[in-house]
Amino acid sequence: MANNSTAKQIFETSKTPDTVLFLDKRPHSALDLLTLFILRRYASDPTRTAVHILSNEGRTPFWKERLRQRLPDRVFVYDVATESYATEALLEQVRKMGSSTTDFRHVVICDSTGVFVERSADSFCTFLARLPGQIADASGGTAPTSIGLLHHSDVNDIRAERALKFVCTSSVTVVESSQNKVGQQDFICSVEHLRHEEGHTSQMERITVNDDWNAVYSPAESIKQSRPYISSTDSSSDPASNLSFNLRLTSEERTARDQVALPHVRGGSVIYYEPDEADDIDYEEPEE
Amino acid sequence: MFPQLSTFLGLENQLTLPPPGTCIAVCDQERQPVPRPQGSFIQLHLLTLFLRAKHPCVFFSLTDNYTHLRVIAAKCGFGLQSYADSGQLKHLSGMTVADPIPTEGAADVSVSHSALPHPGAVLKDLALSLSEIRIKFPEKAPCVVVEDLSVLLDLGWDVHELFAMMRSLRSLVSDGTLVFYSTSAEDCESEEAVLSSFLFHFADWFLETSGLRSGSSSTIDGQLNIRIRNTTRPGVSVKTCHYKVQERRIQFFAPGTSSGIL
Repeated sequence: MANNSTAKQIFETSKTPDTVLFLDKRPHSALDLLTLFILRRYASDPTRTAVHILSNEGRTPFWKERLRQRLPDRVFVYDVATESYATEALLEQVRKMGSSTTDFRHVVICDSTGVFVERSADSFCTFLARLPGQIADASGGTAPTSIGLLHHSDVNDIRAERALKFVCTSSVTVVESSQNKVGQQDFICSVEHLRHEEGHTSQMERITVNDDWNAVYSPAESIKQSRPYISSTDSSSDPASNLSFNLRLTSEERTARDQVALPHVRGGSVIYYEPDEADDIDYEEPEE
Repeated sequence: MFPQLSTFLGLENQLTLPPPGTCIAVCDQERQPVPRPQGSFIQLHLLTLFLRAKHPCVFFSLTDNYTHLRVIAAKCGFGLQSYADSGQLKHLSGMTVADPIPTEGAADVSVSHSALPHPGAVLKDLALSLSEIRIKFPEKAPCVVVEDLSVLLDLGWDVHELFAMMRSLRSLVSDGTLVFYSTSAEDCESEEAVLSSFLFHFADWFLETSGLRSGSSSTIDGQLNIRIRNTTRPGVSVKTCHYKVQERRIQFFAPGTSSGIL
């Protein structure tokens, strides 16, 4: 099952340029998954990967502290005020950083919160779409660029979320998060390939992250699927189990029922109706 | 000021402070029929921690309750005024900055009064105060307390303008500590609820007070949910405690251990 994991493809094995949208909603946070995304992409080729963080929530000290020990080199944190987000000036800054790291793989982290105050969803999406091209041009055109985008669904407009989904190749939506018995962080996520070579796929997955930022990916069912209101095997919750008459058919009874010839059906499923004298048929009405 | 609260917040003693660069959100959530849970003591406690540790502080008050806080602090044995006199604590009345009342003889009274407060004005004033105290106390990182953010929504600010102001302020105080206090209703459609959600994602420490789900109680005033984001490891530390506001102190209990139950 591990090989079929969409989450594993996103976090561990993607070699092509991609844009991954991380969606969260209170009381859950996708910040740890975004960190996992950076670290797993970095771990795939540590000597030739550069990480650019466009910090929009004033989180520069947080990112520096979080990544300081694990990514000692080539982490570029841009403290982006809203006014300068998604502008030519920022593109130029990222491009310059790209030119100093020729033939590198680039991971760019963006945060959409508050961007839509100053920028329309269209202009932000255009910025996201242009970003890989700018870096590729600056670094010789050979380096793939991955973008990880954090978006809080409960703070922003649904229209912004829809617009972002148009430019993203995959999305990871946190549905549940908790700490398991051994202290690891468990995330139940809806993982989707939105525009991928394998087409559109969607599945619920459990991503377990340990303290060393290694992850285990396993399938997970949504709460509704894993806890059906009426279980087919649980007779105590089946309302039909204590009736004084039988609602179910055995295979013999089902076969016998199928063999009964109905009077108005001749050889197939078409019903023939023979009118009698009392019928007043309107021949101009096609439904009759 | 409240040693038990420091313990619940994971601070070793009264001199231990939150790490530099921490953004703390304190949210009072009103759940009917229980009245507002009076969680403003948390911001007062954090303010006193920084003042005792000789850090310069800016208190930006939008509800003009500085005098009230000063009286409460004095009751609990903490002289806020002495720090204000020494210049270590700078109090800014947010209403005069955010929604200035026109002075007598102003050239164009109608324009100056009807104009909505601009985030730039608030930021400019805060930045000015910060630079003043940074010059006076250069060796210690500042602490800025802003209360009550939801007042700005009542003044007509757009919620996204408020987010932009908070982000800019966080960049401004990136080396120090930022404390935001806000109140919100349970209604998930309101702007206050959106602000509360934003603070949840934005802050490193999210401290939410609310009344008990089971209703009012004579022995417990409310519940404090503490959510602290781990910096280097994944996950968050989550704790819950109950509290009772008394005349000169606040009692904290682990859930289920209040005197009314035991």
